[in-house]
Amino acid sequence: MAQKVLAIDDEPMILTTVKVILEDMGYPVTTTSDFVEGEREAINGDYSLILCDLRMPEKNGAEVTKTIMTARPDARILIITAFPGDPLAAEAIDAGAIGMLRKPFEISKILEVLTSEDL
Amino acid sequence: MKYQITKAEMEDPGSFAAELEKLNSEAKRIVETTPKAVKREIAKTEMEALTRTLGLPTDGSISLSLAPDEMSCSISFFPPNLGGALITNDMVAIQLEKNKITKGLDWNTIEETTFACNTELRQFSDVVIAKGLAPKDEIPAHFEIIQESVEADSADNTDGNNHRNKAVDHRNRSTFRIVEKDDVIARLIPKVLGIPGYTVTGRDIPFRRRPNDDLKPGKNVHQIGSEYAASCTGSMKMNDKSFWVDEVLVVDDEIGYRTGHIQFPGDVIIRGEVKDGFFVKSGGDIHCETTLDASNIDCRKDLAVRFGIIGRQDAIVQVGGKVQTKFIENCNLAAGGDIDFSVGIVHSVIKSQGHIRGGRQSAIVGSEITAMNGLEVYQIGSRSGPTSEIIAGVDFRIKERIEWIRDKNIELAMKLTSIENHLKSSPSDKVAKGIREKIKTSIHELNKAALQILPQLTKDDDVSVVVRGTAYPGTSIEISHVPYVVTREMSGVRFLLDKKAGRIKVEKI
Repeated sequence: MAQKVLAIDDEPMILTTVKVILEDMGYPVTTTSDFVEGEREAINGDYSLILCDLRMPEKNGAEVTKTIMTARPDARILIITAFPGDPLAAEAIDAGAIGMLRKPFEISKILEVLTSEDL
Repeated sequence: MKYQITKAEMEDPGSFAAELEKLNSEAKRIVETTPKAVKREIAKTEMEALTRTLGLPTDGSISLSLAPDEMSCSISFFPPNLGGALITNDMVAIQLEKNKITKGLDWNTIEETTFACNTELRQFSDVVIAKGLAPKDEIPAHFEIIQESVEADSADNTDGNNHRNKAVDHRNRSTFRIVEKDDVIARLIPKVLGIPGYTVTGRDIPFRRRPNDDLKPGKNVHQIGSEYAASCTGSMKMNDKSFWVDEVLVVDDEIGYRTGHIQFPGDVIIRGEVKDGFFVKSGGDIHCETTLDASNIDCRKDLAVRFGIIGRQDAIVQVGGKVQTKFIENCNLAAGGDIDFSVGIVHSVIKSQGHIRGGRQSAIVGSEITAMNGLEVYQIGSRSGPTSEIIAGVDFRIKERIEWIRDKNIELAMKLTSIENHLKSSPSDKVAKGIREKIKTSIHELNKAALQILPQLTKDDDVSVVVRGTAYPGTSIEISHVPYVVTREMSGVRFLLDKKAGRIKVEKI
């Protein structure tokens, strides 16, 4: 079964392009700009990788990461941020995020996770 | 052991003789039970002390020691006591002959020590009386390169010492050296003959011949007596086989409307400013003797800047090889090799296929740094200044290609979305359908290309980021795509990838 990707971001451009690019490579992508829906999907769905924006209007990516990791400690989360030195990014990493993507996104890091042997 | 003859013993010689017998047998036991190696050394002193205590005369004597490599011989001289026989030169000569000590003898020392020992009645230990001679290597004729320290301000040498015209070992050469016509760049050191050595036992030790380094003068070098000079102004180069001078373009004035753009297949020396909007392209090295006010610099080999590189607006500095400078400011610089800077990198985007190394008090402030083989610096960030991002273990050229593909794909994805929206309202639009298929094919091809080069992206998981001074909060460090954000001041630390845990670990240095 193909590895599924979930993208949580309030920027439609990022969601659209991630979906187009990854689905072309054979990875089904679910996108949402609603963090509540994103958390629910991440916890209940069988996603190999979750992409999550760090700065969202209602809840930040570090908090979303904490929620997901509490329910699903095996989740693999990559945080999307414009500023890698953001203290919230450190919080997200401490909470269990495995990496950071510079905006709009770094396809190489996404593919590294999806193509890594231990998945 | 000290024995005092008592009054009772004086009055009773039988008792004295019995005690003497007892002492003699004790002395004999000591001698017999002492290990052989020690026995020789202590035998004389102990026995003499014993016999002296007993009031018996002892003869002067000597003890000879030969070094294991037979390169020296020493004698300990023991003085006579209570009228014992004196040490004589003959006694010494017999011992020397017995031990076959024939060369390097110092008879003055032997005679003086013998005399002093006999007259002062004092022991002289381990007096060196013969020395061998170590052989001297034969050194073939060879070239000594006269080095002018262009790199005096480099990261390794921040003390301001400028050692001009100093002869150095050519293996420690700098990568870049500018010479003027007729500057002496090397001298021929004549062959030094080897001298055989000998041991004190007369064994000859042959000398060794050092290998010839085979260095030969190359192009644009001429001979003046035993010296070799540059035949033109240029850049002195050398490898293991030869040294030569490459002709260079020297721009004494500023690069601007008078000179136009500079495009030169060889090395370029810039002595003035590069005016806004003008570019310099060099097929070789670029050497800048002042500050490089960079507009657009394309240097295929190494870039050496005596002071600093200051970028202008969207200035891009591309270097095929190494970079050596004091500071880099407002610059977008990419280098195929290492970058050495002595003072700082400020508000810049720096990429290196090698290692980035800062000088003793160097700092990186408000910059984005990619260093494939890691980075070492004194300080990153400051208490109130802008933060920096350090990326290590990643090949920036591959990263840039993947990012280019991503940007193209973003464009195509947006077009695809709008065409698909159009097709929702006009599902039979054949032209739109055709475009949609073409876009999809393009995206697919680009993705294939990205996947092909992806394995080359992460080069080295073992690189480290070393901060000898302080890393300030807000500094982001990423090694082989694994991130770490500095949230408190950290001093004297090394950031490494813990591959097993998939985390960055921090070690004290």
